[in-house]
Amino acid sequence: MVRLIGHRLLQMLFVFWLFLTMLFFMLHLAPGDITHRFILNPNIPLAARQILIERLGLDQPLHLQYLSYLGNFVRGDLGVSFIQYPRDVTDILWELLPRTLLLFLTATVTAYWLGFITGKFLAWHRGGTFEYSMTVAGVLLFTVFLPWFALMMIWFFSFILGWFPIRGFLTPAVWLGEPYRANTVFAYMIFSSLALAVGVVAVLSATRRIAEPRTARLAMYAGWGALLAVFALYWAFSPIRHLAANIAYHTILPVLTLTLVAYGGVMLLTRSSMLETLQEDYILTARAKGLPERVVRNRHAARNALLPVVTSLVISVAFVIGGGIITETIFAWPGLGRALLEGAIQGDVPLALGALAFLGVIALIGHIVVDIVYMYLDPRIRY
Amino acid sequence: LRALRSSPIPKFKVLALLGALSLLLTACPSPTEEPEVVETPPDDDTPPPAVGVDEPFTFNSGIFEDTTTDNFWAHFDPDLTIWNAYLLNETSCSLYGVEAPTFAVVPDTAAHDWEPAQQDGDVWFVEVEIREDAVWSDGEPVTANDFVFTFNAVRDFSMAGNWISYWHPEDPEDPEATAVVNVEAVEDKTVRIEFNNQPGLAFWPHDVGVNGAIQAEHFWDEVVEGAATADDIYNASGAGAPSCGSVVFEEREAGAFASVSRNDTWHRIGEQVRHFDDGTVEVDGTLYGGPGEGEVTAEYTIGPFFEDEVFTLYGAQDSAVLALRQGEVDYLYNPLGMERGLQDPVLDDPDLEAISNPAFGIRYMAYNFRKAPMNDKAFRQALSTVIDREFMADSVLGGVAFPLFQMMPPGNVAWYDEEQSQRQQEGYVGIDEFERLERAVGILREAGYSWQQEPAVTRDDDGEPVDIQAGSGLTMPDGQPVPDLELLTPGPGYDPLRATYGVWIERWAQELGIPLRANLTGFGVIVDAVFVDPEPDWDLYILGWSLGNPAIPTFYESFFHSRHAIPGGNNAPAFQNAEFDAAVDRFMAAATEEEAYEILWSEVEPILAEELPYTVLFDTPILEFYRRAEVIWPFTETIGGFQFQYGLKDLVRSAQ
Repeated sequence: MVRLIGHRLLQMLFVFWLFLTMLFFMLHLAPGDITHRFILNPNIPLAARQILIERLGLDQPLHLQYLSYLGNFVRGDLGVSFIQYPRDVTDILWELLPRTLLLFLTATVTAYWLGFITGKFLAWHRGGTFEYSMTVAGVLLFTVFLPWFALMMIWFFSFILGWFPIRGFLTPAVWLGEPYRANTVFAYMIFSSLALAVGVVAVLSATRRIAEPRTARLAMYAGWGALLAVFALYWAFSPIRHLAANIAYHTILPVLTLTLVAYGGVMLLTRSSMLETLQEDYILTARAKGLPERVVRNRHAARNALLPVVTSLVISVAFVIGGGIITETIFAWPGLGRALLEGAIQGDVPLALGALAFLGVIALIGHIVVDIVYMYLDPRIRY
Repeated sequence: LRALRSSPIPKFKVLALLGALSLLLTACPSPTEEPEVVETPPDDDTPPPAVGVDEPFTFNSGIFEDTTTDNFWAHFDPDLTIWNAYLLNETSCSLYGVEAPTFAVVPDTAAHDWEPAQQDGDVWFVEVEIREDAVWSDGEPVTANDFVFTFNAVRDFSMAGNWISYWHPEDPEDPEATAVVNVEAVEDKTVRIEFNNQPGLAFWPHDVGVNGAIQAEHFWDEVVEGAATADDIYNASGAGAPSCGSVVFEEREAGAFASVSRNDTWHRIGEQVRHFDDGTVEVDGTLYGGPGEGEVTAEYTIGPFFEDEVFTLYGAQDSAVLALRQGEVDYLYNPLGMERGLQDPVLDDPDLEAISNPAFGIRYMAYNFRKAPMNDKAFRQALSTVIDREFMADSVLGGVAFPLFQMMPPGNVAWYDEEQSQRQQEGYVGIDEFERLERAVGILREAGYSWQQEPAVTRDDDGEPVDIQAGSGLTMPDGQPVPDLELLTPGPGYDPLRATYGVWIERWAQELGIPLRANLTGFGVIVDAVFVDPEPDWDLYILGWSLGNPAIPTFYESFFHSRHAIPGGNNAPAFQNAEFDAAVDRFMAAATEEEAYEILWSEVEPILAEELPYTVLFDTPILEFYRRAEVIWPFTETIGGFQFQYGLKDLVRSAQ
């Protein structure tokens, strides 16, 4: 295992260097740069643009800029943003990360959880009208054009029904004059949700050891109820509860949109994977042994059908930034995807590079995680 | 995991422990300490504002690009965006200001009207008394030292952007250029500004007097003294910085909103303003910029009347428009006006008021004077003649644009000369495509051009023109064939109007026998080719300009003076004309508006109309909307719309 991780890490370093180098030159090859904003202002003299060029280091030959960037990158310095000059890119990315994480982790986890359960159910109850209609719905959601779908969701739920806000992650009127910054509230929300999630898994794991199914189920629900009560009590007495509620309210529509789109794919993937697994001889053997249907479905079929779904999950988590560009732009959600887009459009090379490098690191780590999880899920797999 | 599996401690215990730890961590205070909220006791010495808030209200406005700074220093240089300007521009002040809608120069912090500079040995100077009641929002007086402090910071830290273009510190590489050489405090409330040459209107009162924003010395001196470079100043937080403008910056939540509040100490609150037909402005009974003749065109009291303005960020114009219709915001800032595709449902909305104003800009086609035949006046005149700008605006572009025929747009009523403009339009207006072609052929033929197949108008039996037979094989007067030409045009994704124009110009040029192809390409590609490439090899391009300050059209010098015909300079066509240079230098040096106006329309504009370094094509009006039940402005006709004046924050009132 250690050798595998070490080997993979070396591969990752090389791939990442290649990725970063290609990105650097591709972004610099794009026509135009940030100083165009000065060119197109007739009031600003040429000298002002020259000062800006020198200040941003754009007067250096490209290979020197590259070497300087690489050196700084190794030291953890991603440079300063051109459009938020002279703010550090790292500082901007850390500010935006919780916002992206909250939105996409919530949507991804919900979509995979629901998708896996329904996919499993549909495969097990194959052939009914429900399965056909759900499959069609899944295909529609899987193939829908996300920008159009997101705009339709806003138009219907926000403009026509007025249930949800049209934009953003907070209501200015609620936040005006508040001593807390949004990122503080995001941090509390993420940590408390993580705590709840760990608690839920812990309760699940503990109650599975109880032999008697009815008692186990009761203990599980009691444990989850207690956790939820603690969670609710914590937030009920928190001084930032109204701010967190405001963010949560703004999260509903984008999460719903993302969940629906991701859900279709996961559900179809689980269904087809499960259908394949159900054809296997060991399923027949399990049934022949007289095991209960629930055990055959959950322990023998579903666990083996999980492999492609887990791959898809890890990769999708790794690519949240990429998927976030459209969603974050349409919902005015200021996350990493939006920053990446703005950086690329406005010629803010350090910001675009920083966001893409971050994406690259997460993607590479995601691949290692997939390898490790595979070995855990299927002991036959060895690299 | 293997270790966990083989551990004697049951897995669920470990997980439960982790869960408990996580809950504990969550319950602990966050690393970000809660800021201490300090109650500020009411200051009994602060005089009550002359004008109260009618009904305390919040002006809710929408933006769709984020602001990037709360620091005014940075806003004027590296963070110079229109969105930051909407938020921060009115948090500062200068000696003078321009009063919309006529844009006459009126005192801001100055106690009296502006006066021309006087000579004192080698320098020219002005001494300006500062209003006694001019104070910062924290109650400290605005003094001459604030002007000295700001100018010294701009000069010493080599600040660029608006700082350099408004304060004009001396350029060591061009010491002969007109510049501010010194700013000093004669007295606490009297500032002296020295120039190395006699400043024209554009310098004084406009750039230095009107736009020379200041920052508070008592707030920023520590930051500036401790700064090694301008970046150290730009990196400091602007939160809490006092304002001498109409509003005070309050807060900014990146990616969500920003807000300003009314500056109760602003010295202009309560001033009574009247605008006259002749462009004169009367402020509290004193006339500025003329004798005050004719009808009163606008009359109002200066506010601000709101308690605060909240700028809500929307991800795209679509969602911002939905928010406007839903009543979430009262007004949308948009430097380009509302997109055509979004206008129809908004125009039908009875709750919204639509206002349309001419923009102070142009979209134009430029010729590269470094290459033939673009360097030939006859070629430029012939090509300009076949371009039917009225047809394009009315028919092809469906009325969303208006045709332009000279550099000064008619929307700038103070500087526009209707009579002279009509004369310059002769040959371009009111003639059909057949006559255009025949005239263009005549111009080229007279200049010595010839064709293998001369373009011709085919006529029916009654002699009426019915069709055009395109020319081919156009040869220049020196016998060389006209080479294949490329017209760089922004693509339809960036600007469908200019893309359409490019395609039509290609068609008209080919009818004339000019082998011209429109290349619909990226905006950045054109800017790189035209303004960045040290050896510009382009033929023709279509782009647009926003023309800057409508109160003083300095763009003539910036676009066409030969000193700017350098790589990266604004004179991208490399137009060089000694007669024009002399005229525009006189225009820039003019000490009165009357003198400048005379030079503009008797020399500058006629030369451009004849030489045509640009063929000015069109522009689009700025269409804005606001919720009529919520807010109201004392006038709606103003060049560039409300957004051009940063929303006219000091005039907007609650409609209720």
